[in-house]
Amino acid sequence: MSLLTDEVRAFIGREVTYEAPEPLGAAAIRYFALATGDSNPLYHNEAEARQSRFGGIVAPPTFVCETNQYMPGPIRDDGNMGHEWQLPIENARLLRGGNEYEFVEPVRATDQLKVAWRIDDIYEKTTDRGALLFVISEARYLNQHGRLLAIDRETNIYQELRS
Amino acid sequence: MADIADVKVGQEIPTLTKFVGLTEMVAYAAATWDFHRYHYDAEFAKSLGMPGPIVDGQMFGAYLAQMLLLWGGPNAFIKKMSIRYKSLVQAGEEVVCWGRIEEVDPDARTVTIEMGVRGADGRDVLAPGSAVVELG
Repeated sequence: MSLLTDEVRAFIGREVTYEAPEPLGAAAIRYFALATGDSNPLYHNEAEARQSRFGGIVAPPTFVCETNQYMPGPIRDDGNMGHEWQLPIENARLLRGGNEYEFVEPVRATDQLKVAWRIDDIYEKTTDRGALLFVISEARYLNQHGRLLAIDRETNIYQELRS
Repeated sequence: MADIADVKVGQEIPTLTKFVGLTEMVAYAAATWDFHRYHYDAEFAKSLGMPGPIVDGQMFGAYLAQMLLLWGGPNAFIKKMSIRYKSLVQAGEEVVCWGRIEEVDPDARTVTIEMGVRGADGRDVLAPGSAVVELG
Protein backbone atom coordinates (compact mmCIF):
# COMPACT_ATOMS: atom_id res chain seq x y z
CA MET A 1 0.00 0.00 0.00
CA SER A 2 1.39 3.36 -0.95
CA LEU A 3 2.03 6.06 1.63
CA LEU A 4 2.64 8.63 -1.08
CA THR A 5 -0.93 9.72 -1.61
CA ASP A 6 -1.84 12.75 -3.71
CA GLU A 7 -2.58 14.64 -0.48
CA VAL A 8 0.91 13.93 0.83
CA ARG A 9 2.57 14.63 -2.53
CA ALA A 10 0.88 18.04 -2.64
CA PHE A 11 3.12 19.15 0.23
CA ILE A 12 6.26 19.07 -1.92
CA GLY A 13 7.56 22.60 -2.28
CA ARG A 14 5.45 23.96 0.55
CA GLU A 15 7.14 26.78 2.42
CA VAL A 16 6.59 28.50 5.75
CA THR A 17 8.58 31.40 7.18
CA TYR A 18 8.74 32.52 10.79
CA GLU A 19 10.17 35.73 12.20
CA ALA A 20 11.37 35.77 15.79
CA PRO A 21 9.76 38.47 17.95
CA GLU A 22 13.06 39.18 19.73
CA PRO A 23 16.81 38.59 19.35
CA LEU A 24 18.15 35.28 20.62
CA GLY A 25 19.72 36.88 23.69
CA ALA A 26 22.74 35.99 25.79
CA ALA A 27 20.65 34.20 28.41
CA ALA A 28 19.21 31.80 25.83
CA ILE A 29 22.73 30.88 24.69
CA ARG A 30 23.93 30.30 28.24
CA TYR A 31 20.76 28.30 28.96
CA PHE A 32 21.43 25.90 26.10
CA ALA A 33 25.08 25.47 27.09
CA LEU A 34 24.06 24.86 30.70
CA ALA A 35 21.43 22.33 29.66
CA THR A 36 23.93 20.38 27.58
CA GLY A 37 26.62 20.47 30.28
CA ASP A 38 28.94 22.51 28.09
CA SER A 39 31.18 24.89 30.04
CA ASN A 40 32.92 26.25 26.93
CA PRO A 41 33.67 29.92 27.84
CA LEU A 42 32.78 30.99 24.27
CA TYR A 43 29.15 30.60 25.28
CA HIS A 44 29.13 32.77 28.41
CA ASN A 45 32.42 34.59 28.99
CA GLU A 46 32.71 37.75 26.90
CA ALA A 47 36.30 38.52 27.95
CA GLU A 48 37.53 35.08 26.94
CA ALA A 49 35.37 34.91 23.83
CA ARG A 50 36.87 38.22 22.67
CA GLN A 51 40.26 36.50 22.43
CA SER A 52 38.95 33.84 20.05
CA ARG A 53 38.42 34.09 16.30
CA PHE A 54 34.81 35.05 17.04
CA GLY A 55 35.60 38.24 18.93
CA GLY A 56 32.74 37.72 21.37
CA ILE A 57 30.19 35.30 22.75
CA VAL A 58 28.71 32.90 20.19
CA ALA A 59 26.07 30.19 20.43
CA PRO A 60 26.78 26.45 20.40
CA PRO A 61 26.53 25.36 16.76
CA THR A 62 23.33 23.31 16.88
CA PHE A 63 21.48 25.80 19.12
CA VAL A 64 20.06 27.92 16.33
CA CYS A 65 18.72 24.85 14.51
CA GLU A 66 17.23 23.22 17.59
CA THR A 67 15.57 26.03 19.51
CA ASN A 68 11.89 26.80 19.00
CA GLN A 69 12.42 30.25 20.45
CA TYR A 70 11.53 31.95 17.17
CA MET A 71 8.08 30.33 17.13
CA PRO A 72 5.09 32.33 18.34
CA GLY A 73 3.48 29.51 20.32
CA PRO A 74 1.18 28.57 22.01
CA ILE A 75 2.30 25.22 23.40
CA ARG A 76 0.13 22.48 21.91
CA ASP A 77 -1.54 19.60 23.75
CA ASP A 78 1.36 17.22 23.20
CA GLY A 79 3.76 19.83 24.56
CA ASN A 80 5.20 20.68 21.18
CA MET A 81 5.38 24.23 19.88
CA GLY A 82 7.85 23.71 17.09
CA HIS A 83 7.18 23.90 13.40
CA GLU A 84 5.20 20.93 12.08
CA TRP A 85 4.15 20.19 8.54
CA GLN A 86 1.12 18.15 9.67
CA LEU A 87 1.49 15.83 6.72
CA PRO A 88 -1.62 13.67 6.26
CA ILE A 89 0.41 10.46 6.49
CA GLU A 90 -1.74 7.50 7.42
CA ASN A 91 -0.94 3.98 8.58
CA ALA A 92 2.69 4.74 9.22
CA ARG A 93 5.08 5.44 12.04
CA LEU A 94 8.22 7.56 12.15
CA LEU A 95 11.03 5.05 11.73
CA ARG A 96 14.09 7.24 12.00
CA GLY A 97 15.34 10.63 11.10
CA GLY A 98 18.54 12.42 10.40
CA ASN A 99 19.91 15.92 10.15
CA GLU A 100 22.50 17.49 7.89
CA TYR A 101 23.62 20.74 9.38
CA GLU A 102 25.59 23.36 7.53
CA PHE A 103 26.91 26.13 9.76
CA VAL A 104 27.66 29.21 7.72
CA GLU A 105 28.25 31.98 10.23
CA PRO A 106 28.69 32.05 14.01
CA VAL A 107 25.44 32.85 15.78
CA ARG A 108 25.32 35.68 18.31
CA ALA A 109 22.97 36.95 21.00
CA THR A 110 22.03 39.95 18.85
CA ASP A 111 20.79 37.79 15.98
CA GLN A 112 17.04 37.97 15.47
CA LEU A 113 15.98 34.95 13.46
CA LYS A 114 14.06 34.60 10.27
CA VAL A 115 13.51 30.90 9.62
CA ALA A 116 12.33 29.55 6.29
CA TRP A 117 11.13 25.96 6.18
CA ARG A 118 10.53 24.13 2.93
CA ILE A 119 9.64 20.56 1.95
CA ASP A 120 12.22 19.77 -0.70
CA ASP A 121 11.00 16.32 -1.61
CA ILE A 122 8.79 13.43 -0.62
CA TYR A 123 9.33 10.00 -2.17
CA GLU A 124 8.66 6.39 -1.46
CA LYS A 125 10.61 3.14 -1.54
CA THR A 126 9.03 -0.28 -1.49
CA THR A 127 10.71 -2.88 0.67
CA ASP A 128 9.73 -6.39 1.61
CA ARG A 129 8.59 -4.96 4.93
CA GLY A 130 6.29 -2.46 3.30
CA ALA A 131 6.48 1.07 2.02
CA LEU A 132 9.01 3.59 3.32
CA LEU A 133 8.17 7.27 2.89
CA PHE A 134 11.04 9.77 2.84
CA VAL A 135 10.29 13.39 3.71
CA ILE A 136 13.13 15.83 3.07
CA SER A 137 12.74 19.30 4.54
CA GLU A 138 15.13 22.15 4.79
CA ALA A 139 15.19 25.01 7.27
CA ARG A 140 17.27 28.09 6.53
CA TYR A 141 18.17 30.34 9.44
CA LEU A 142 18.84 33.99 8.67
CA ASN A 143 19.34 36.96 10.93
CA GLN A 144 17.61 40.33 10.72
CA HIS A 145 20.20 41.55 8.19
CA GLY A 146 19.41 38.72 5.84
CA ARG A 147 22.68 36.90 6.54
CA LEU A 148 22.45 33.13 6.28
CA LEU A 149 23.57 31.61 9.56
CA ALA A 150 22.81 27.92 9.14
CA ILE A 151 20.93 25.34 7.11
CA ASP A 152 19.34 22.21 8.56
CA ARG A 153 18.35 19.56 6.06
CA GLU A 154 16.16 17.04 7.81
CA THR A 155 15.18 13.59 6.58
CA ASN A 156 12.30 11.78 8.22
CA ILE A 157 11.51 8.20 7.24
CA TYR A 158 8.08 6.73 7.86
CA GLN A 159 7.37 3.02 7.73
CA GLU A 160 4.06 1.57 6.67
CA LEU A 161 2.22 -0.13 9.53
CA ARG A 162 0.96 -3.48 8.42
CA SER A 163 -1.79 -5.25 10.30
CA MET B 1 43.48 22.62 20.85
CA ALA B 2 44.12 20.86 17.57
CA ASP B 3 46.76 22.07 15.14
CA ILE B 4 46.20 21.21 11.46
CA ALA B 5 49.89 20.27 11.18
CA ASP B 6 49.52 17.54 13.79
CA VAL B 7 46.23 15.97 12.70
CA LYS B 8 46.56 12.58 10.98
CA VAL B 9 44.03 10.35 9.26
CA GLY B 10 42.94 7.53 11.50
CA GLN B 11 43.55 9.40 14.74
CA GLU B 12 40.81 9.15 17.32
CA ILE B 13 39.70 12.31 19.04
CA PRO B 14 39.00 12.15 22.77
CA THR B 15 35.60 10.61 23.49
CA LEU B 16 32.97 12.49 25.45
CA THR B 17 30.78 10.61 27.93
CA LYS B 18 27.44 12.13 28.89
CA PHE B 19 24.86 11.05 31.44
CA VAL B 20 21.39 11.83 30.14
CA GLY B 21 19.03 11.86 33.09
CA LEU B 22 15.55 13.23 33.32
CA THR B 23 16.92 16.49 34.76
CA GLU B 24 19.15 16.99 31.72
CA MET B 25 16.22 16.19 29.44
CA VAL B 26 13.96 18.71 31.15
CA ALA B 27 16.69 21.36 31.03
CA TYR B 28 17.21 20.75 27.31
CA ALA B 29 13.48 20.82 26.63
CA ALA B 30 13.19 24.16 28.39
CA ALA B 31 16.31 25.64 26.79
CA THR B 32 15.00 24.78 23.32
CA TRP B 33 11.32 25.69 23.98
CA ASP B 34 10.38 22.09 23.18
CA PHE B 35 8.04 20.76 25.81
CA HIS B 36 7.08 17.60 23.97
CA ARG B 37 5.64 15.35 26.63
CA TYR B 38 7.36 12.17 25.59
CA HIS B 39 10.62 13.65 26.87
CA TYR B 40 9.46 13.87 30.51
CA ASP B 41 5.91 12.51 30.92
CA ALA B 42 6.13 8.75 31.54
CA GLU B 43 2.40 8.10 31.10
CA PHE B 44 2.30 9.98 27.83
CA ALA B 45 5.42 8.20 26.54
CA LYS B 46 3.93 4.81 27.39
CA SER B 47 0.66 5.72 25.69
CA LEU B 48 2.72 6.14 22.50
CA GLY B 49 4.25 2.70 22.91
CA MET B 50 7.55 3.85 24.38
CA PRO B 51 9.01 2.24 27.51
CA GLY B 52 9.32 5.63 29.22
CA PRO B 53 10.50 9.18 28.56
CA ILE B 54 12.87 9.16 25.62
CA VAL B 55 15.79 11.42 24.91
CA ASP B 56 15.44 14.07 22.23
CA GLY B 57 17.88 12.97 19.52
CA GLN B 58 19.00 16.56 19.03
CA MET B 59 20.76 16.42 22.40
CA PHE B 60 23.28 14.08 20.78
CA GLY B 61 23.97 16.63 18.07
CA ALA B 62 24.84 19.11 20.79
CA TYR B 63 27.08 16.57 22.54
CA LEU B 64 28.90 15.76 19.30
CA ALA B 65 29.49 19.46 18.66
CA GLN B 66 30.86 19.75 22.19
CA MET B 67 33.22 16.83 21.60
CA LEU B 68 34.46 18.33 18.33
CA LEU B 69 35.12 21.75 19.83
CA LEU B 70 36.78 20.37 22.96
CA TRP B 71 39.22 18.81 20.53
CA GLY B 72 39.35 21.68 18.02
CA GLY B 73 39.68 24.51 20.52
CA PRO B 74 38.36 28.10 20.64
CA ASN B 75 39.42 28.90 17.09
CA ALA B 76 37.75 25.91 15.48
CA PHE B 77 34.50 26.26 13.56
CA ILE B 78 32.25 23.34 12.69
CA LYS B 79 31.12 23.76 9.09
CA LYS B 80 29.01 20.64 8.68
CA MET B 81 27.55 17.85 10.73
CA SER B 82 25.64 14.89 9.39
CA ILE B 83 23.85 12.63 11.84
CA ARG B 84 21.38 9.77 11.65
CA TYR B 85 19.36 8.54 14.60
CA LYS B 86 19.42 4.80 15.07
CA SER B 87 18.14 3.72 18.47
CA LEU B 88 16.10 5.30 21.22
CA VAL B 89 17.67 6.25 24.52
CA GLN B 90 15.71 6.32 27.75
CA ALA B 91 16.22 8.68 30.67
CA GLY B 92 19.09 7.61 32.89
CA GLU B 93 21.47 6.25 30.27
CA GLU B 94 25.09 7.14 29.79
CA VAL B 95 26.27 7.61 26.20
CA VAL B 96 29.69 7.93 24.61
CA CYS B 97 30.46 10.24 21.70
CA TRP B 98 33.39 9.20 19.51
CA GLY B 99 35.22 10.59 16.50
CA ARG B 100 37.95 9.50 14.10
CA ILE B 101 39.87 11.63 11.58
CA GLU B 102 38.92 10.66 8.02
CA GLU B 103 40.47 13.39 5.89
CA VAL B 104 42.77 16.35 6.36
CA ASP B 105 42.85 19.31 3.96
CA PRO B 106 45.82 21.47 4.98
CA ASP B 107 45.08 24.19 2.39
CA ALA B 108 41.48 24.68 3.51
CA ARG B 109 42.52 23.92 7.10
CA THR B 110 39.60 21.54 7.41
CA VAL B 111 39.33 18.10 8.87
CA THR B 112 36.63 15.53 8.08
CA ILE B 113 35.76 13.42 11.08
CA GLU B 114 33.70 10.25 11.21
CA MET B 115 31.70 10.32 14.43
CA GLY B 116 28.91 8.68 16.32
CA VAL B 117 27.25 8.02 19.65
CA ARG B 118 27.10 4.67 21.45
CA GLY B 119 24.95 3.58 24.35
CA ALA B 120 26.27 1.99 27.52
CA ASP B 121 25.63 -1.44 25.96
CA GLY B 122 27.73 -0.56 22.95
CA ARG B 123 24.80 -0.18 20.55
CA ASP B 124 24.77 2.66 18.03
CA VAL B 125 22.52 5.43 19.31
CA LEU B 126 23.50 7.47 16.27
CA ALA B 127 24.74 5.59 13.22
CA PRO B 128 28.21 6.78 12.21
CA GLY B 129 27.96 10.21 10.66
CA SER B 130 30.47 12.88 9.82
CA ALA B 131 31.58 16.43 10.47
CA VAL B 132 33.79 18.96 8.74
CA VAL B 133 35.71 21.16 11.16
CA GLU B 134 37.75 24.18 10.19
CA LEU B 135 40.74 24.61 12.47
CA GLY B 136 42.02 28.04 13.43
